[in-house]
Amino acid sequence: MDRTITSSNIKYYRLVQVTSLILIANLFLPFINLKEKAVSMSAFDIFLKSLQFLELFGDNKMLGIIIILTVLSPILTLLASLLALIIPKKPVLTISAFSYLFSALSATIVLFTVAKAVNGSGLLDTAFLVKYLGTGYWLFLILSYVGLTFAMLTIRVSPGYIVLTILSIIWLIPIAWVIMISFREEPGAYTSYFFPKKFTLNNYVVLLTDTSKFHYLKWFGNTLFVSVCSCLLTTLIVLSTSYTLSRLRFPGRKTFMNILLILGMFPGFMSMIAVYYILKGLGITQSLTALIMVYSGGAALSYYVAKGFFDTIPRALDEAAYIDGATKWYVFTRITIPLSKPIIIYTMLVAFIAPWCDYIFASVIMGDKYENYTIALGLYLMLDRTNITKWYTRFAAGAVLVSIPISILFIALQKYYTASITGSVKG
Amino acid sequence: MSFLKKALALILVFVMMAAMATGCGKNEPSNNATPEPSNPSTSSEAPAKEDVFLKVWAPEEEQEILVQMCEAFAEAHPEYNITFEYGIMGVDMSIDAMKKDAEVAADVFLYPSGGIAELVEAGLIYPITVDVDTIKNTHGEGAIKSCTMNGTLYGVPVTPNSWFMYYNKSMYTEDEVKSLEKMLAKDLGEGVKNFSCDIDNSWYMSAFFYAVGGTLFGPNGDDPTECSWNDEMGYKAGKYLIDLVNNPKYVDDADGLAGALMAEGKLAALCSGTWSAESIKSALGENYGAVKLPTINIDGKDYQLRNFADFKAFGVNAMTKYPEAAQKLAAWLANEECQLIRFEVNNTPPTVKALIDHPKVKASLEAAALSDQTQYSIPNPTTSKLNDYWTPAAAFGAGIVNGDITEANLQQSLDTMVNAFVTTLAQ
Amino acid sequence: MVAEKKASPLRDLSERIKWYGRAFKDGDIYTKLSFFVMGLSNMARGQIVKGLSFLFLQVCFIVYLILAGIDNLIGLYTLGTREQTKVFNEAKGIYEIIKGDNSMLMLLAGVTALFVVTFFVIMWGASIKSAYNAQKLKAAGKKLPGIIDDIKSLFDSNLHKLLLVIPIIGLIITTVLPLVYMILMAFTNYNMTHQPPGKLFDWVGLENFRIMLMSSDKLGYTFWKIFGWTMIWAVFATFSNYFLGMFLAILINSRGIRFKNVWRTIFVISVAVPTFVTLLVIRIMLQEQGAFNILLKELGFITKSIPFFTNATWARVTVIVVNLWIGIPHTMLITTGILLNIPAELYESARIDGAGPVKSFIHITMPYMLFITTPYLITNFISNINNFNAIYFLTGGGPATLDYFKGAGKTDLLVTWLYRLTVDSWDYCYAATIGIFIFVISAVGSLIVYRRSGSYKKEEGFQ
Repeated sequence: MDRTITSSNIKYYRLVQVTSLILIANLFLPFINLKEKAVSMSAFDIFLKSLQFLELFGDNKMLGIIIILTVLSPILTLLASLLALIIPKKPVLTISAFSYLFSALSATIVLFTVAKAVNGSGLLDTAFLVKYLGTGYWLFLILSYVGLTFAMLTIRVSPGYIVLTILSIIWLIPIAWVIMISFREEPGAYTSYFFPKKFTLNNYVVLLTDTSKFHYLKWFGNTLFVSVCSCLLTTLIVLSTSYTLSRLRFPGRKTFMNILLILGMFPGFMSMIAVYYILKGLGITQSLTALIMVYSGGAALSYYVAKGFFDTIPRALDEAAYIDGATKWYVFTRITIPLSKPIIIYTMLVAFIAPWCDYIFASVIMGDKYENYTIALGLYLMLDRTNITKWYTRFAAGAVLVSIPISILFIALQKYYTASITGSVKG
Repeated sequence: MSFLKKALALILVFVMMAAMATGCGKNEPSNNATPEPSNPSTSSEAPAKEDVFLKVWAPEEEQEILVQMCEAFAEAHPEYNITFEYGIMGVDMSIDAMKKDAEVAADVFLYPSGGIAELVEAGLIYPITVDVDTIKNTHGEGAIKSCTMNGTLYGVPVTPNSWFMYYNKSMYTEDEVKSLEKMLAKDLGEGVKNFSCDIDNSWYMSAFFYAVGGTLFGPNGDDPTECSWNDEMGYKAGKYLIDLVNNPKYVDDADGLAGALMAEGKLAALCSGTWSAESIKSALGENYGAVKLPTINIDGKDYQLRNFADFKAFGVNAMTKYPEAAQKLAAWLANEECQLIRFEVNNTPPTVKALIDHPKVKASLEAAALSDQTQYSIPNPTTSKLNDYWTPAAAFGAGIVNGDITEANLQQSLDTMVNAFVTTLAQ
Repeated sequence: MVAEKKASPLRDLSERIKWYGRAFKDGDIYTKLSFFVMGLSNMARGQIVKGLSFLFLQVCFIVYLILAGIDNLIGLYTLGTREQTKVFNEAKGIYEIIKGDNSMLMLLAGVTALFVVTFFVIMWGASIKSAYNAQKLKAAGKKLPGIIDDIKSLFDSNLHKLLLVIPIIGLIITTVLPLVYMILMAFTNYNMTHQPPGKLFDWVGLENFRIMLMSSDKLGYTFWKIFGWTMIWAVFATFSNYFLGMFLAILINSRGIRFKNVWRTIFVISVAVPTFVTLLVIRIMLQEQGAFNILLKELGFITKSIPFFTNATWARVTVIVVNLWIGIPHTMLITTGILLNIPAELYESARIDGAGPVKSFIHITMPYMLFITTPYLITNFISNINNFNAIYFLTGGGPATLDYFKGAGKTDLLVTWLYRLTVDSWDYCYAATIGIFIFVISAVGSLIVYRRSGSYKKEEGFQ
């Protein structure tokens, strides 16, 4: 045996070969199984049939492609396995893995296209449903993935990639969908088809230039302003609260922490009206300042993460400074803060995002003051009964534009995000 | 105790005092709360110009013509020196905004007449007494009635705020749309739905109960303890709804779905208000049709669907400092000239009697349909118990749409619903 | 400080009162007078600035009391006496509306006045302390700290006072004061028939609690049903997110995976889209005729639309699953860091003992994670109980059902139900009562868990 196949993965390698044999056998199990109509066809049957009636390919290329994929992939896996039996070297084993990858992709593609293909071909006289697929197909799907897993194990590639790929697709599809809708030419929230018929940039153009109804850019600016200010204020509050609770000792500290914990449990929006009148009393209702106050006022309640982070900074540093005669203020500003970059960035990031997401508070505070609306209010307005048909695709465009800067921030700063929480929960 | 802390504490006290003095402390004795500058000169021959400040709320689509109308009002009333402020406020949002803070709300605002009891109950709206006879003579009787509570007029009607039926003329004839049975009986082909309504919306559902003669809050809509929807005829109406929803040719509307289906030619008729006219018209082109609601047939007898006769009306804020000018402005904004402008610009159907027969208005399908339907409509109840109508009624509709309510538990569900309308928590 | 005042239990308080009694007895004339004229003792002993600022504070307080405070406190007791009326003015042909009292604003102003009074009492206590201290220091012949010393101490021994001033002011204005206002509302009859400014509302004691708990069967039934669902939701939303997020983090961190940052970024993108946008988009996607159902039909998976939001069971599953979509990447980010921190030796020794990945997960990863993240789990659980946005934007609480009081919905959480009570029927007093129930449940529950958790005990060790 070549040293590329060691004893630990030889058992997987055998399984790969067995799987490919079953896959071939699979071709003769019922691929389409319609009990009510007593129709049962194996992939091989369909393949023969399509050879006989070549027009099947002519009319509907899709079905032809599906059949070729279905029949070809088991054969490829078998060939690759045989080749690996003769030359058990790493490149060949890799080819075998790729043949399974091809097979798995084929099976997946078949799952999502078979209905359309069969319906277009006239092979059946009823509308095709996925549940008509027979055991032949399902084994094909499952075994392809099983074989792929084994093949990956053989060449020491983590099968975790398969799970991650599937999860990534699940997480990206809604986002891709919004982006797609934002380029759709046909208006309206509902269409009876999935893929837009025509694409256009117009939604973005209208969103950014037509200020008669929705002043998107202005609202974007408002939100940005509120975000930046409240992010600075919040950071100040969170840092001073959490540092105090972590490092300074004073009577009532523990109680104060419990009070903060309890205060955070109250459903905040119940008291929105009170907040509104307090802000009115201060003479700043309907203003961006009011929003900044609301978003940062209760910031002390979320001291927890930052406190945990400060807890992890070794106290020896402080002690050394105190011995040198440093004041507590000096220790806080010159020793602790410079060591706290991750938690500062984390706090700022979280605070920065809040104004982009809040709808309820902003709507209570702004009322009829259109020019001070934030992006969330504006976007929600676009989905109003009277606007939704006309504005839905533009709403999507607006949502995409909002997400871009935040995504960039998040991607750029995610390592601090992780690092800060890591530190904090160690506390 | 240290100085800085005290300084900050003082700031806090000042801040709170400011709050007290400006906002929260407004409840010190203020019998002269309506400081209508009681200069008797308004009635004398050489009027000194009275300085008037009026804030007006109207929906976004009316803003341009609103300015135009208000300026015309200022010209027609040289005795006032008016400063206007315009605010964008959707008709269905204005009551909530009034309730939140009437002091900063508009002096003259557009509201749906169904909310009249709520506004009166909370003491937020001014009785209209200036030139009240002229107003009553100018506008249609139904419109005036729906703005009247306990014999007092609380708003000047602007346009019917109700719904009717749109249909595709290529699918139905003018005769067919008179009866829902005829409409549903017609086969329009595969994948095409015949009729859509929003049954799980209490605004629409009531039409079926009103059709069979049911009463909500007594025959005059002012008895908070009475509702007949669970009697024998109510049961039949409920049964009709169940059958309708189970009819494969019916589709329940939500979030503009029906409009989208209609635009694609997959729906023949839907129920909506004038706000949908523009998009439906552009989608259907010359097949665009609008008509009063059809009849429904129960036990061989035809019953005309009857909806709430709601009107958009201009009301005057009870907190206004200039009640006389504000009332005049409300009446002005709803007068014949202004309604004509509104009709020409926004296609808003009028309530002024002289305009209803105007050839231009007659030519507008949706205006004609609406005024046709208004004859059959039921004035909305004028008890504040109407607040307790919406959610239980929507729950009943939802129960029918999702199949939870069947013939087996229909009577029980009706009883529960009616009980929810008429009982109060404290009982 | 406000916090310190709340900190003292009853015994502590009585000690303090005794202390003030002693201070009065032992005090010289200046100290005694300082009980009535704040800052006198300090001024007499040379702490001019300090004494003057105490005095200034007192003057401000008295002015405030005269201008508004006393009225506000009386208003808090009466909640208004004059109802709005209108009188017809024949000459002008209009009604003249005579403004009445606005109970709601009076309640709020009264609560604010209470806060100002409390604050003043605390400052008064502080001034006496300072007065007595000044006397004692003088008697002992020590030098009294001047204003400069006081300011310096703020940056050193009293740094906590300096740092907590802004956070506490913020908390009081935006959280505590509104909270007290809301709690008090539960003891009034501020409901649909008592709407200010037109009508007055009044104190009714525990009446609302009686109604909630005893009067209507349906209300009680609805409360417990919604409470049950809220708990189910909170458990699922918290723990499924937690475990699946951790699984994802472990997967990405596992040894064989390359391009870890790329994978993480893919999931981070969904965190970066504002949640309310995601929720609204998914809401439209999952309607009966929405894109998702359309797609499934096109692909031949279903013939009839899946009732994601109209069927109660489907709707509940849907909100939980959608919440997974939103929550998993979050947990992934948070747990990634912690996982990296688990000492590698632990795993190494486990492997030598022959433990597989599953065993080492159960015996090493899980205990470690649970120990560290208990507080995170608690706060997460609480925020899920109060997760207004997820429900409000996704289902709006629907599908509504007649089985519940006034058509509350099957996916309504207590918070959304309470919100709808205020919006639909303006029954503020009942909503406030429910708010108190939610609060008591979450506060008691989480304090118990929190106090038993390892993290808390460890934190105690610091003191």
